[in-house]
Amino acid sequence: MTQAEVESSVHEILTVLTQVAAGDLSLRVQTNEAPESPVGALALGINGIIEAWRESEVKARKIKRALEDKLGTIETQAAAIRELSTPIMDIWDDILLLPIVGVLDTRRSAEVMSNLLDAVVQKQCKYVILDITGVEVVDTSTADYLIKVVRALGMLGSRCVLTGLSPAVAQTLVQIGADLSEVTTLRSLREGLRHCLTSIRNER
Amino acid sequence: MDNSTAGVTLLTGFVFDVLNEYTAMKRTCTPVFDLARDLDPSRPGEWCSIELYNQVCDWIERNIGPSSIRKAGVAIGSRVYDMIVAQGGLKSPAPLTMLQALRHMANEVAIRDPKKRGWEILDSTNASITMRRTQTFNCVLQEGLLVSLVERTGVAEPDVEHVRCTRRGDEFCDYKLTWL
Repeated sequence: MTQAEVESSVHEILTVLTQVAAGDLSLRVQTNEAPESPVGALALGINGIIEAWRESEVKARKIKRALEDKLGTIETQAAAIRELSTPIMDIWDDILLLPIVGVLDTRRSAEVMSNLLDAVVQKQCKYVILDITGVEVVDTSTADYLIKVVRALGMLGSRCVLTGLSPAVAQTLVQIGADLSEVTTLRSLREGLRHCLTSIRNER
Repeated sequence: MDNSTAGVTLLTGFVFDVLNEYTAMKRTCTPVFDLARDLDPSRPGEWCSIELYNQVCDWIERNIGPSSIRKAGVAIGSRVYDMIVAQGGLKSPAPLTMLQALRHMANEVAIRDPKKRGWEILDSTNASITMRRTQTFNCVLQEGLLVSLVERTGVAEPDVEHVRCTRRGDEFCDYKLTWL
């Protein structure tokens, strides 16, 4: 090769590399040199690197796409689960029931409060039964939330009945000194419903 | 960037395009369905304020999640592709042709902005296009929409990089679309 041909080849290689660096991985170094010649071998090596880079980028993008898709699904499903986890039921005239199952953390407690208050305003009910038979653990913040829910319901003109306290939960509430004096607490949902019906009957 | 939305309106069909992605979650998404309660889904060609559209998208991003609204953008982008191809009589459009058509549709047909803001194409190469949004929009949804439009043109492994973002303090949202 002449000096001019070498310089032209190097220029071609640098042009391709600049565009590849800018993200165009479809480009390859074009050369008429034999693969065993220095310039031909260099072009072959560079093209191999670009191809490997492209393959790696293809894999990375496929993974990224799959993760983004899954994350979108997870977010949507998490919202659906949150919705299902606070099923507010209109079980009788003037009585709403909210059974709570599982862990009542801060976020869920806030959602319970928000959804319940909306439902109370919408239904204009007099009693709300919060059944926590399915709650195995409560902590100070959960107890605080329960008290806040009761107070907020009171401000809207509804009374709250807490049912289904397990011995462990009752023990915890006592240990942490939760003040449940404003709440009617009963052992079972059955007793809670009976209490509400009797109270409504007596009010009439 | 001029963030004002005063006097900016868009076709109500776009609002329902977003809401349709969440019809199975109507209870969770009650606030957004309430926002759109005065709109008539049987009249997608009517106009509503862009502010309402942004409120719907922003609520979903905050309360359901950014990946969810991005995924909604992907689904919407695919429908926008079909609409552009059908209305424009395009056959196998290249990415640049498609994004030029999007710019035309957004700036001239589907959104009315007294200040003539919308999409701009800043730069394009054989393997990339950089788009700029000069109008206030939910930018995460736009990511999904853009990548979906480019993907439908048939190029390999398209990706979008949100290179500049008004939420990060940049003046405009710029999106670099690349493919392999």
